[in-house]
Amino acid sequence: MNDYDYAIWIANIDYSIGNAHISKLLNVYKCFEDIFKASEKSLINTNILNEKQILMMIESKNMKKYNLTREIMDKDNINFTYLQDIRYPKKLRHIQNPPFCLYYKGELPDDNKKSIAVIGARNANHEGRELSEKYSKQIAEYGIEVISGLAYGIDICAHRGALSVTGGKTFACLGCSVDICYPRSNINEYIELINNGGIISEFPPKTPPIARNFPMRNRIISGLSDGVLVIEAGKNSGSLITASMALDQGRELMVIPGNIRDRLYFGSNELIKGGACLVTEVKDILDCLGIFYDNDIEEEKTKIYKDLNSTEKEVIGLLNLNPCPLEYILEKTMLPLPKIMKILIKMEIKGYIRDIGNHNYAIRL
Amino acid sequence: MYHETNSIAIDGINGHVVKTEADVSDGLPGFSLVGYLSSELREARERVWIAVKNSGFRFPPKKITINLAPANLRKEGTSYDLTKVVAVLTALEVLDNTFVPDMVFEGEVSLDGSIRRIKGILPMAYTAANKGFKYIILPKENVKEALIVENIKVIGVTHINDLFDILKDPEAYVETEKISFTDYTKSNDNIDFIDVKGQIRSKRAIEIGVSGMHNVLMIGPPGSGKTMLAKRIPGIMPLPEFDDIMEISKLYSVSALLSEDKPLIDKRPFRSPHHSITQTALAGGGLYPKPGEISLANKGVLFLDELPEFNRRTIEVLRQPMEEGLVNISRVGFNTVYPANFMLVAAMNPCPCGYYPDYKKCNCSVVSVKKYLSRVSRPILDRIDISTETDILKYSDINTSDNEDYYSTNNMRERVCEVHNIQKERYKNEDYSFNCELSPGSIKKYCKLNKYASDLIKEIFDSEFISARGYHKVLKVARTIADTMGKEIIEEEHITEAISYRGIDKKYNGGVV
Repeated sequence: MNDYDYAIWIANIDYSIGNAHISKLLNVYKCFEDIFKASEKSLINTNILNEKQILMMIESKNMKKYNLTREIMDKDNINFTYLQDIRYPKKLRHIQNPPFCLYYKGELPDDNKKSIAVIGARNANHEGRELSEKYSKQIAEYGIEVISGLAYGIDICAHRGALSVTGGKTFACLGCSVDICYPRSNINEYIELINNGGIISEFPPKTPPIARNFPMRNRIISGLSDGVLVIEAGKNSGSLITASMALDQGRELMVIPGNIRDRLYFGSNELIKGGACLVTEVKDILDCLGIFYDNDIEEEKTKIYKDLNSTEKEVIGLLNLNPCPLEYILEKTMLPLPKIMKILIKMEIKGYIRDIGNHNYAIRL
Repeated sequence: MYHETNSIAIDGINGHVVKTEADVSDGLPGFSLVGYLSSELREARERVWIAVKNSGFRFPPKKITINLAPANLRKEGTSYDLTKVVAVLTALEVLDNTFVPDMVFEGEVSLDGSIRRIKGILPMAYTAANKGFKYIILPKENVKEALIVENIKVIGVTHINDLFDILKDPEAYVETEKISFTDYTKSNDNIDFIDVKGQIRSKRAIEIGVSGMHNVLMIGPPGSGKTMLAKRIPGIMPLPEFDDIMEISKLYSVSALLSEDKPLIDKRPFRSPHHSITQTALAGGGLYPKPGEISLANKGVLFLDELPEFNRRTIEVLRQPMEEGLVNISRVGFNTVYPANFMLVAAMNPCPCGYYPDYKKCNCSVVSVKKYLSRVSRPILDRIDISTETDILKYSDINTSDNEDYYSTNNMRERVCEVHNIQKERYKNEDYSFNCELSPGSIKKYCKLNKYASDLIKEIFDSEFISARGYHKVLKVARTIADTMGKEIIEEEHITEAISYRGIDKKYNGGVV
């Protein structure tokens, strides 16, 4: 057994033996092998682990849990890295309380590339989703890696945006182990992520998505990135935890502002008030990370709908990212309902707009 | 001494003639009933005995046996009391029996000899008339219900003692008041689609739904008028014809839902069971089967408000009746068939609080919205062709002065009737009569598209905007929309409108949630 194997062993003893314990043990024993070979008496003398933990450590030397984990790792193509390993992401190594080990599918973020974490509400509305997808796409085009959490809402849209770019890399940090896709309905993105980035978690295989794990994975999301982009964070949102972790870790904090009366943006606006970088276009993000860009990325702003006729253009001109009720379109265009419906459905099929429910329409970016 | 009388047994909503045979002979004095009887019929022994005694007649010390034939048919209910009384009394030669073979007797007797109201008179009278009987003798309170049936003379009785005179000269007691069927159908409704302000899209969806008899699902926030719309749907269906009225009324008659002053159901029914309803109450059943809500909604509307709140297994029982238009209730030894040809109208909120996807009002988490939507049974959603969203009303909608005549109940019904006629004409050689019943095979035959429309539907299908099942739904609905515009070939516009009525699965942020 080499260091790598011992690291897997120690990471799989028990949930209660965590990062802090392992690093303290390493201070005493120098290497994993010495910990493995340490006698019960010497472990008691170090006074790091309690009686129960020592018993578990001694019992685990039968390698039952280790073998089980190795089996799953081999079967599911799960990779492993630990703090002392050369593959361990450099950015993460320097945060406070870095995870001792990382399990991952696919690959780990490239240390030499910039990366951005895109975070926000699960029940985000259309505007947030579109912005998340759009910005993730644009920054992925600049070779920046997009990191998020595979959750509903902003997270999954960020992954989608990055995946839509050929060669775009995106990584998901999970609150469960990497062999579990949570939430289940994002399975398509989960599979794509393995080939275009990776799935990362510090939890050993077969760990279910339990609530206490999620704040912990948030520190990995921000730790792996150079900057954190917050889209739609409400009051007391989990994204604010990530944002404060990012500040502790010295990451750039970028926030898309929202209407000050909109409760979906209370958290976001609070962050801006506290001094976060305000983002209104993708250039702001690139500026913040110190990335050079051509000045001509700007005119993407107004999309040109070449294949639309003049009435269709008139209708789409009425729409924006906020839900626009059908009555408003009817009133403004003075066209009969069936005709409007025909135009709207056709544009929806083309992917220009979306029916977001209750007869409200909004454009897609 | 032996004599027999006739009465009618109800099976489903049809009747059979049951003969009541009475025999009076020497032997150990007694009074016995035979012939596959339910418990309330066995108890009739006491009722008949005492009622006859209390009417001033004394039974001789003889052995009296009453048999209800055919003996293999299960009989239940209290309607055979009167026929037993007559059978015994004619066998004892107390009553005149000249006219008895031409008569049908129905009624429950009470201990003092008076005759009580029973249920199911309408199908009984109907069967009696069909079987060629001349008179039907029944409780006075049920007279109006029977008067609707033609070709039979109705005689009401209030007490056993009346029978002595009636049987001597029945013609003198025949109810002369004739109620014609048209008297009842003129009653005017005070609910009209005109009362519903705004909601033009939903009104249009409903009109199309009724035109092709597609089942409709309404999704919308609380207070947006889903129930109000649903209640008005039976009104825009074509006025029920005589056969429809008879069928509906028979079902209500066997369920004891007809009253003395309203002996006929002349409107298409609107049934709105609460979501705590059981499978039996919905589909019909019981030890002695009774029609369920789906049968009471026959020829009308079954409205399921708060669809996700219904027990999933309860809703699943709708599957077979929705396919076949009837419900078959099997019991040991017999089964009963009730018609259940209804249009399903369901309503639901998009999320537990009802305001999704408006996050300014909706506080529901993503997971709870998903859970709520997935509570609706998939097989039932597959049978619903049209989904429409209801809007929250604005002040300008409520306070609008122009009475939109286009969506008044009368105008809508006229248009619906036209479309029904088109379909009747088109499907005259088929065993179905509405667009909603088109199978994938017949869709090819009857849903002809023009070039633009077929290009469009191909584009829609390729863009994964609709599923394969959704594709057939869209075509069926587009067929109806084309019919409402009097077009034989389906055009682009019809397809796009049909798509806007697609289900909830691909809506709400593209199904992303």
